Amino acid sequence: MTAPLGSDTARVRLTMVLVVVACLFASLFARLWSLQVINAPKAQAVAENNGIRAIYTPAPRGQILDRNGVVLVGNRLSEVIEVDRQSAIANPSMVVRLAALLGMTVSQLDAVVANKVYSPYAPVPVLPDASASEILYVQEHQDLFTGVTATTEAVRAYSAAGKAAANIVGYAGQIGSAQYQQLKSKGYQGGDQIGLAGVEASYEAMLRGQPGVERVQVNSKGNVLSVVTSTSPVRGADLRLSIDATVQMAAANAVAQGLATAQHSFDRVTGRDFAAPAGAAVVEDPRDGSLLALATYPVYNPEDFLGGISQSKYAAYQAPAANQPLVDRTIQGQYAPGSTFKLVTATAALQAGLITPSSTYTDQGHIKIGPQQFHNDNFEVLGTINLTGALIRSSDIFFNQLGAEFWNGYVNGRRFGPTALQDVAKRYGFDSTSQVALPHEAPGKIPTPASVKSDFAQHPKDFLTGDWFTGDSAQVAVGQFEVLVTPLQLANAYSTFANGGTRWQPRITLDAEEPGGRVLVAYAPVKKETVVLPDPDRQAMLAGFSGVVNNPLGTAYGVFANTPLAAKDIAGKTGTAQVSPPKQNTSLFTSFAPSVNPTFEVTAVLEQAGYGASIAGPVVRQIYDVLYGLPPQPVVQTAVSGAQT
Amino acid sequence: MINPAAYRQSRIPSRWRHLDLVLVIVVTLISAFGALMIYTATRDRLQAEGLSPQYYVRKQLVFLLIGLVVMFVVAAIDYHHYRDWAFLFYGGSVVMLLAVYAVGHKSKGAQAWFQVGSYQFEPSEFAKIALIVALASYSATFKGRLDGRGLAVIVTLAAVPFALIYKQPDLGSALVLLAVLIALVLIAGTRARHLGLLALVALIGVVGVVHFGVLKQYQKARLTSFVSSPDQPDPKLLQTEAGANLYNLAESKITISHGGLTGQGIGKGTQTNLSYVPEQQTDFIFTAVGEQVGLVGSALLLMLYLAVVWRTWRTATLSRDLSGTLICIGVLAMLVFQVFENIGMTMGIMPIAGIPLPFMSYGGSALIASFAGIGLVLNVRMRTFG
Repeated sequence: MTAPLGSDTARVRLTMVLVVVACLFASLFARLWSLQVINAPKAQAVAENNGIRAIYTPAPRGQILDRNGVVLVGNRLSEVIEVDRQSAIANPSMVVRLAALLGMTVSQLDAVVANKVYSPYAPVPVLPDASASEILYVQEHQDLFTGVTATTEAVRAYSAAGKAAANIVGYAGQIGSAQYQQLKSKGYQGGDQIGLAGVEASYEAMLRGQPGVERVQVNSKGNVLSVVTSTSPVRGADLRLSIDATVQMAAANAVAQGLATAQHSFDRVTGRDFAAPAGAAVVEDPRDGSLLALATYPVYNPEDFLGGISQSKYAAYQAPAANQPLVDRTIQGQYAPGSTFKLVTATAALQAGLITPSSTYTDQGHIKIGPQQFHNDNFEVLGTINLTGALIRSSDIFFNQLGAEFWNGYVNGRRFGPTALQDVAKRYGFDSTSQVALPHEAPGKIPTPASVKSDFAQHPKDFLTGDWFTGDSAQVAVGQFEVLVTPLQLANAYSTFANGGTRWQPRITLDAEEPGGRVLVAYAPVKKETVVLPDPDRQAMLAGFSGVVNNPLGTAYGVFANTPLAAKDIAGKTGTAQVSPPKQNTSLFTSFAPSVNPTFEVTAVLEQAGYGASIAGPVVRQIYDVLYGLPPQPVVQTAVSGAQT
Repeated sequence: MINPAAYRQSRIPSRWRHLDLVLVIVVTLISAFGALMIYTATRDRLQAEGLSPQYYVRKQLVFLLIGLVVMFVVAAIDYHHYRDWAFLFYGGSVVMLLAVYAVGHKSKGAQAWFQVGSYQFEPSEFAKIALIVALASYSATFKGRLDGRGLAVIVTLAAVPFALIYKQPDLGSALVLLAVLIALVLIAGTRARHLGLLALVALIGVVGVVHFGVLKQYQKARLTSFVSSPDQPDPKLLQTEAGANLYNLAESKITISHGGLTGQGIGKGTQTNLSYVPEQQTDFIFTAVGEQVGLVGSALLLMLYLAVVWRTWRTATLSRDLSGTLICIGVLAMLVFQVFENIGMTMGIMPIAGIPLPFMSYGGSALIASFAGIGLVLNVRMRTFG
């Protein structure tokens, strides 16, 4: 050891340096151990997924079939022009050329390319449904269009029956941002197609299928380096509806014909032809609530929604002259039921013991209830009639009187509850949605003293009073005042009576099937309620409904007499509902056949089209022709005489 | 021992026969391994950018050659001459630091470089070496009994480059000077009570710096964030600068952990290949080591650094004079502090500070300066025995 380090202090201090170094390195070793031995398994998982990104390929949606397997909505392959994002950013002159080819401005195309709904790792679709010539041009000039490629994607294809059932099948479209935020956790990606209306929306989970997932390795700049795993998309399940394509098309056609006919018929009440802008028809199997047809008019063309509806088309659908084609009148149209509501009043009166089948009433053609004067259509005097007769001839006075007695019985001595009549209506399914598997169903309305009171409290300017009068009950008894029903509710209420008292939840789907045909889910009929009547009571009512069609005095006798359908034992009820002027009367006819053990319930409701028998009746008749395989009779106006409500 | 006959016969000057070959081989090995790590850390990224995958490694190999030449040149001239030129080196480095402050190139928020063609020259790296030589030479004159006045002069001498580098701002390099200063005054024989006083001043200084806003917000965040750094890189962190540091630190730790016991294999580190760690070829080069060669390889690398430290310490203890000892201890302090701070930072036990890993990180100035430091150590050993 040389002189300068001879001192003990220097030795000690040099050793101290070595000790410090040893401590520092020891801590490095310790930390290395903790990271690479203790933390390694956890880091392994993080590292594996660090550079992995998933690219989703949407699956073709399942087909929508009718009950016999007829395709209502299928898929077709559409050519799409796509552009690679990196190429578009790196090559502005290519973007200019592509914009010119697509007929867009450069800034429009830039906006599409920059749209964040598309995966950053996959090409951006810039032109759906590209024509063969556009694709050929791009492919032949790849030097000018680097990064531009063509691919195919499955898009919805609608058969004629599918278009006639647009309100049922609905449409799919690009997922909205709010909806995306909600559904992100269920594996939806921005830009995904999702059912937005009809069963496309309500059976989204079945129809959607399993998107294909390609897991790719990307670097920290987002460039795709390699494909790690890849699964192919699995097409969604096929949805088999209870709808019968033939019946659906027939019903749609019959409603359209009925409206066209009404538009050329003179309305003596208003002194002009009927406006007849819209209508609906429902065909139900009363045995289990299966729906064979839900026809609405006007109807939209679902093809307009492919790839997103254009502004101009959407504006056209929203124009007043178009009469709201996006509204499905079968479940969203809310109409005063008029005399068809007498089903409810008759049932309630019999159950409450207000009348028996043999009770008679002398119809003098008019009645004064409180300050109000009520009268039959055309002031017809029907004389002494019982319940059956009152249904056959549609005596309003008979039922006005019953409605009044319900309220008076409540007010004087509490013989009934304040809503005895309304309660029966609710048991038939009115005043609440039928829960058919279609979105945005309307509940209709059955007014009660409570609802009148709360309506007035909330909107004092829109209502005259918050009080309930005897006359209100008298009007409710004949389906007027504020009573509103949907055509489906009406059909389902008559189905309930027709099958002996079981109210089914209207069923639109039979099952969901794999593409091979194996049933994945069967949608069984669901019982909702029972409305039971003692047999004599039921027979009296049934005789009434049967007489409407088959008794020469019946309001719809003229519709079916002397036709092959006269032998089919059809029973039904006409309705001619008054709506607030200047609107014309709503024409309703609801029916079931055969009257014993019925297999069909057919209802038609036509807005501003006159008497139930004159136009809704012939619409229903044409639908029966198709149901029974008979040559369809044209929808012509049936002449009416006397009280025809 | 030396055979006088052989000695006379040999054409190699006697001092070169005392060249510490172990030290030369070890630092060359570390540097070559560093070049390989730089290659693996930059290859894929460069390719993705359309550049040659060897862009960085080629430049680094050139620096390595220059570094070896500089090392031998530094070793060749008797270090006792350096004592005479010490204040020339010191003055030169201060002038360069002032110049870089005036006309230097601004990059990544710091003004620390001269742009020379396509190369960047970083005066602070050479200031470290100059300061070691200057402080060692001056304090050696006290013959192991550094008094209060001498200590004050040394501290003042160190304070000038420290302040200039700190102002760049390059806190990391400034802290290296501090480590060198502490080691030198310790070995130069500072009295115990002066050491205590110095420690007290340092403590007050640290408290003052942290509490009274001498440090900029981002510097404080860098220095303190590692304590609470998460184990998972959550992209939400990237929204703030402090968060981005934590994010990068999480990626850094995961990359090292991903190596496990034996590593993913050279060129097979997915984290490294996908550039998940920023600055990976420079300050975070150790993450490439950790992922690709695992605990075994990383520990081996640490052992190589320990070998460098050991040979340097041995030379320090064997030196014939105090100036040789102090030069070696200065180099030792510089290397140890840089290795510990750099590797500790990548593993989340030390604050994030921009300090390169000696012989490993990409960058010419640091590599050449490190080799110059080794040249000094070789020099002392050669002059001790030769």
